[in-house]
Amino acid sequence: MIEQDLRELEEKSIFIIREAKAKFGNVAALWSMGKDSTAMLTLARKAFLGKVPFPVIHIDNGIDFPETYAFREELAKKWKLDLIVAESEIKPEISGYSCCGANKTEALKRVMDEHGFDALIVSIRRDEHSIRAKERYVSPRDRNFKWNYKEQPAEVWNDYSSKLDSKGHLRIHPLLDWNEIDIWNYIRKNKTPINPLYYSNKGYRYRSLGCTHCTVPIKSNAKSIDAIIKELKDTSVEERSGREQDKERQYVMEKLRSLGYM
Amino acid sequence: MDLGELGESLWKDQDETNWKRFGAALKKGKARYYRVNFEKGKVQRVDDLRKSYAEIFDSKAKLIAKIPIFRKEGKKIRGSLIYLKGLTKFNGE
Repeated sequence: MIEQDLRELEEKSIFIIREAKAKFGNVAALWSMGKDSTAMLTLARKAFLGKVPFPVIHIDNGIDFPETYAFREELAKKWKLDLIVAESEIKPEISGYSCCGANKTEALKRVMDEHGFDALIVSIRRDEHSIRAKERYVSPRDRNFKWNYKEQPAEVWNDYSSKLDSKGHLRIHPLLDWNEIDIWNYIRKNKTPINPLYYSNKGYRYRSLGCTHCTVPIKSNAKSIDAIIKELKDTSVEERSGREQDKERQYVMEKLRSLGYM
Repeated sequence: MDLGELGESLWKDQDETNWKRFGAALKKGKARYYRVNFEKGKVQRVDDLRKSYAEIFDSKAKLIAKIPIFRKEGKKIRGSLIYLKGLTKFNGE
């Protein structure tokens, strides 16, 4: 894994976050309490003098790890976050990959409608999954939350599309060019608090965090960020190898994202 | 009622009042760890999720309660692991 220049990455990401806030007054950010979205909040605080000047949304299906809920409460209080918890239902009639995608997307649609958000900051990275590699820094969604991944806006010379469907919204992806090790280097540099599940507990830790039902731990003895970074430099295993929904066929992940799943 | 008994009552009634009662008892009691268990194999249907349960352990890894992980709000079903906030995942045998 290649470590990139953190200052360059930070500069570009802060620019994108500031542009989003300036152009779209009603902006919100998704926060899963994972390392990426928490790193994004660190960037937002740097962009806006120590504050996060927009609401952060947790799409909560109720089966996240208890440590995740504790971390949410602690950091929301510490950083004075304007936290919106959008509870998603678990519907018995929906099966398969829809357990996560459809249920969470419905909750997201509801909260976007209730608050009238025009833009949503989402902390995905291109290196996480091949379908995410197709994303743009500013990516339009139509009124049905659908993503037309076959016709993407060009983004040349820092000219990011801000064309918005009248009832759609824009997804803002400030971390697109970051990779996993960059995130950890950034967290270490800024002493960003992280979910304790990333650290080893009796030989296991989580490399990628989702809910209890779709995430499996990896064998690891890394109990510090330094140890995590060292481990990442030596690994050839993909970051999301422990995420169940990613084991679905490529088509399924593409379908999920086109339907509005994060 | 102790945690074990309150946990048992959750299998009969998963409404919010019952969960809040359990959560309050959890904070006062000796619970320290949790472990969520699923049906083996890949989760394909929510029925599998309904068969999931959480085990609660004390500081000496003794099992003190076994509970469902869902709550009911009218006809809606939601997860309820927030009530285990404060506990640590049990990675022991």
